[in-house]
Amino acid sequence: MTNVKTSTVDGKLTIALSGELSYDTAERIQEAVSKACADTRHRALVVDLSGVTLLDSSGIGALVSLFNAEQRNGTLCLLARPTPEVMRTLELVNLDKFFRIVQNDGETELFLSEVDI
Amino acid sequence: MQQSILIVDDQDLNRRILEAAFQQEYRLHFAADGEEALQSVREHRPDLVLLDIMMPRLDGWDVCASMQQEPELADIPVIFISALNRAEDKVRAFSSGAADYISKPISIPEARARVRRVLELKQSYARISREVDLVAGLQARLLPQVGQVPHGFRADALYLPSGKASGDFYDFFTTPSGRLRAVIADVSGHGAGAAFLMGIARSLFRTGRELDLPLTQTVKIINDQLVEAIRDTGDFLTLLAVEYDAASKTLEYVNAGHSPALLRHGETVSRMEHTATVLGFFDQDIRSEQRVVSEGFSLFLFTDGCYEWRDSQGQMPGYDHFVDMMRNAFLSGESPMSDLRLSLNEAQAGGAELRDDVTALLLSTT
Repeated sequence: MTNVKTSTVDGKLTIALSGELSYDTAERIQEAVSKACADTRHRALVVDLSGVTLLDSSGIGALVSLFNAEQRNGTLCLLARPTPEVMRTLELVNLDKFFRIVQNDGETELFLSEVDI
Repeated sequence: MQQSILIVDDQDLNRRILEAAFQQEYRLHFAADGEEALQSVREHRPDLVLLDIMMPRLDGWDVCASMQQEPELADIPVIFISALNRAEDKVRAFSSGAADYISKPISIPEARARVRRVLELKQSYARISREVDLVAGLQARLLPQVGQVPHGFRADALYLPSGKASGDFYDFFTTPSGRLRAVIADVSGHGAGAAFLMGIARSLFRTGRELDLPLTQTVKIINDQLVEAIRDTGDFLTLLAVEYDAASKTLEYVNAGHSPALLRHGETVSRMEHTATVLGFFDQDIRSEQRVVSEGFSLFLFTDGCYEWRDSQGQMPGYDHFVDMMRNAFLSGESPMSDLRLSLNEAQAGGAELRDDVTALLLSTT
């Protein structure tokens, strides 16, 4: 089962996903995440993937449409801590450069400091 | 034609009550115990079974379980009718495959309403299933026959949709200027929606041939059209398209976010890496790569369904392992397609479930 946990600090909305982000779960997760984004005032969005065990093409679709929509609103979007398997999946569709990917809190802060949220 | 119901109950009185309730609207068959019920269901194939649970010889649980085991009977809806009214009996009824549960003493209006509802649902499923069959049938006709491969090549293909319709496709043909063109593509998701987008992509790819457009321009058009149609829906397409010009012995390819395919050239095997990202998300320039192939070569194109399935232990082969296997097949002079078929058969025999569409195409010079 997939979990969605959100927290907001200083305009930074962090959404931690865990479990499978796949054909069976993507639609439900996308709804939950969109709602969290709509409900929270934020300038930056960090989607933490450290607990995601499987990412398939439906999951990739959910992430890209989320980032597309958020970036159009001027939100800085980061993908945090993908496992090596998830990272490999992103490389295999050549989207690893589309996402700004950070491996730890230090890198996240570095990105965020550049946009002054 | 009138729909038919099999009424199963060991009490004559109960059978007569149900007969009175349903004889106006339905053709009826009767059975007085579980064994008679199974005989009748095999012989008459009723549209629905009203099944008592506590009966001599074979009880209702066993009848329902036997029906589930027989593919021709498994889709016939069963409504249990029973005096067993504990919650756990009802739960057991639904988990054994029953469509509904009616408690005794029987309320005739309730029984009629429940029967009507279950039969309506069955008809709706049948209608949806026919629609999807239609899509799947049209789709299968869009795939080229491996025997119709252009002169100088031989082809082998594998196409296993996870449902009936699929988001995968492959194609090959000769362009007006005499070049071989081949493509494999995968729409995210599966089922009828993915099949619809696959139809669009396939037609645009073929249009590129009609107009003799360069490969990059053809893929650019597919991207532009998909962005217009599906941007932000979360759907997208990955594609790997190849063109071979025998005169210059040049192989050109575009890999738009697709699993890198394998090219065997002489004794070497290399990957056809990305030249673009997935299609349908955003505007992008489409680049291509070129390789000179002076001797015979083979192309092995495949979709991610070939390596994204779990075995009974929950393990997934993954791209890197899969590609190593396929490369080794090439290097030892075997067909990677035979290896793939073998490994999928073994996996399925071992209880693995293929979750995505599985498609692969092997094209070799003769």
